Amino acid sequence: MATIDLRSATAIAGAVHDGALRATDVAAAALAAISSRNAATNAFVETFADTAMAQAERVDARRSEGAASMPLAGVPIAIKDNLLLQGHLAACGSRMLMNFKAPYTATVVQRLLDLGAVVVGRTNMDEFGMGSSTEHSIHGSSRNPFDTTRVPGGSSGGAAAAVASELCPIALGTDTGGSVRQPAAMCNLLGLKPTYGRMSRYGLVAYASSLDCIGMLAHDAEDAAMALLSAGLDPFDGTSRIEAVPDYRAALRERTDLRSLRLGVLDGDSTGIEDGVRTATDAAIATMVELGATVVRCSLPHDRHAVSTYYLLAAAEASSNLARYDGIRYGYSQRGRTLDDGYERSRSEGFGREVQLRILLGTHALQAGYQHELYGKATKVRRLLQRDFERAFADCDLIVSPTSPIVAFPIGSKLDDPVAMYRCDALTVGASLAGLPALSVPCGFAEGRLPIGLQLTAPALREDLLLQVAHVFQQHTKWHQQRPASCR
Amino acid sequence: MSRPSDDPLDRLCRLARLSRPNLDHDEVQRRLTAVVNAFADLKEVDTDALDCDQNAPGRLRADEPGPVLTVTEALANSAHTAADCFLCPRVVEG
Repeated sequence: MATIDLRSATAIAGAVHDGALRATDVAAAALAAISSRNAATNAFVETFADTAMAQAERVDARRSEGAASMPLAGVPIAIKDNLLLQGHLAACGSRMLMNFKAPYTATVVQRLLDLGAVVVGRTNMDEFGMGSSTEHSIHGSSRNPFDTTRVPGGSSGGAAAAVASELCPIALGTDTGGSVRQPAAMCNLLGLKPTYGRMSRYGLVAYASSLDCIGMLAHDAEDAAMALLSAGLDPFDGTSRIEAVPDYRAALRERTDLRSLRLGVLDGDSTGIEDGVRTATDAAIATMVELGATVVRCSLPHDRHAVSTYYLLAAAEASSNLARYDGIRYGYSQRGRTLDDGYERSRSEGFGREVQLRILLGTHALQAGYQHELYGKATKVRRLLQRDFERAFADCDLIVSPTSPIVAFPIGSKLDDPVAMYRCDALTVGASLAGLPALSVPCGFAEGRLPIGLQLTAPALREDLLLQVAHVFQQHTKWHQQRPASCR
Repeated sequence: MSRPSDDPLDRLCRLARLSRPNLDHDEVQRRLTAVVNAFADLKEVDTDALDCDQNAPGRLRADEPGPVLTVTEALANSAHTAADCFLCPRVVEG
């Protein structure tokens, strides 16, 4: 079989559309690549070989019948282990759901299938999305393709490792507090978390429902814009946004420089940001200024409380959402002497340590006597932070910062210090709490091999602006073209 | 019948329906304390002027009934079923 470049979705879709490639050949190439190279990173936990080939055959048939345009014709995509594809396992990285078969397909996945995509498999993740390293998984740790002794970030670390390893060009992840953007930064990818409600959550297994977003990881803005074709109102998700979805790919062609763009750079404490990260971020901002942007100083006075606010709210919502796992209706089941005994045995053996810790934290935040002091306070601070963003965007178009304060860290090095792990999310949770779109774009390397990401945050529903600016930046830099040694 | 423990962690485990024996008490206590202490900074934020605690951004549509799973689909992922029902331990004696 001839080698097929699995790096660019745009190129693959174009070749399939033109008849230069068959979708079945692309799917076979992706499945072969996963079979031969996945062991290095543990990115995929399962391939859907039969289903993928059947999907690809349908794409080829539709094309030969002259069916309507398929923008993602034959593009192999990966889905995170918490997104549903009917008839396939979706374990959320948990023993609790090891044998759970999806009874229906997630709206976003179905839309991509309708547009011609081929789902080749599911990717590893921190259990139920609770983690920043993809170490908390029943499937074992994933590894960073740029340094396999280090984490790929998380919780969508398998998705990031899959795309960075060039096993597929696009992966769907989910981002509750940074779980698409942070692994994108650590694996030299573009990762987009859309506005809350822009992508339907129907078929996404809930972690923290007021924060959960489906996002995408790709090498460049063009491919991310392609995946964003799955956005839009969904009657199955009461929180999905009603606003029309613009043509994000066309928007990329509307800008060739950054003139008239006001970049908001945050004043405030930068403690904890590694020197290499700070240097690369400053250089990226300087590049944007050379491209015509102007820098505006801005502040988010309540941002320093974002991590505390996020973890309290997310844990509280998780303790409520995960209460459904009782061992009776679905999931890991242990019979008990009584109903309560069965619940406790099933949950204690089915959930991992980090998930149990967060359930207990959330239960603590919601219990009588603490609810007002903890959960209630956090909801109010969240509102204050949302107002901070509204005020900041009166003076700037985008806010720019590092995506992660640190580069990918050695596997196992932060497992015993949950607070240190939570602080890794300090720069991403703000946009999550405010429901705003944000993306991470590659902007440099530390020690010559560890990727660094630049985060751009926009007002609600301005994914078009985020992608435009990232596209211009990528047209004038080569960071995103750097590949792991295994792919050279 | 033994009295429920007064240990706060025992109480949390009961509320969360998690078994205490499967958790290392000291480790969980240490971790929870560390996390809760790290969140103490929220107390200093003045929120008195806020007249609402709305937290979900965006607009929500009205609730509408939609399609649901069939009985077969609903039961498909259960470990213990019989006669179109979930099986669970006896709850009421007699």
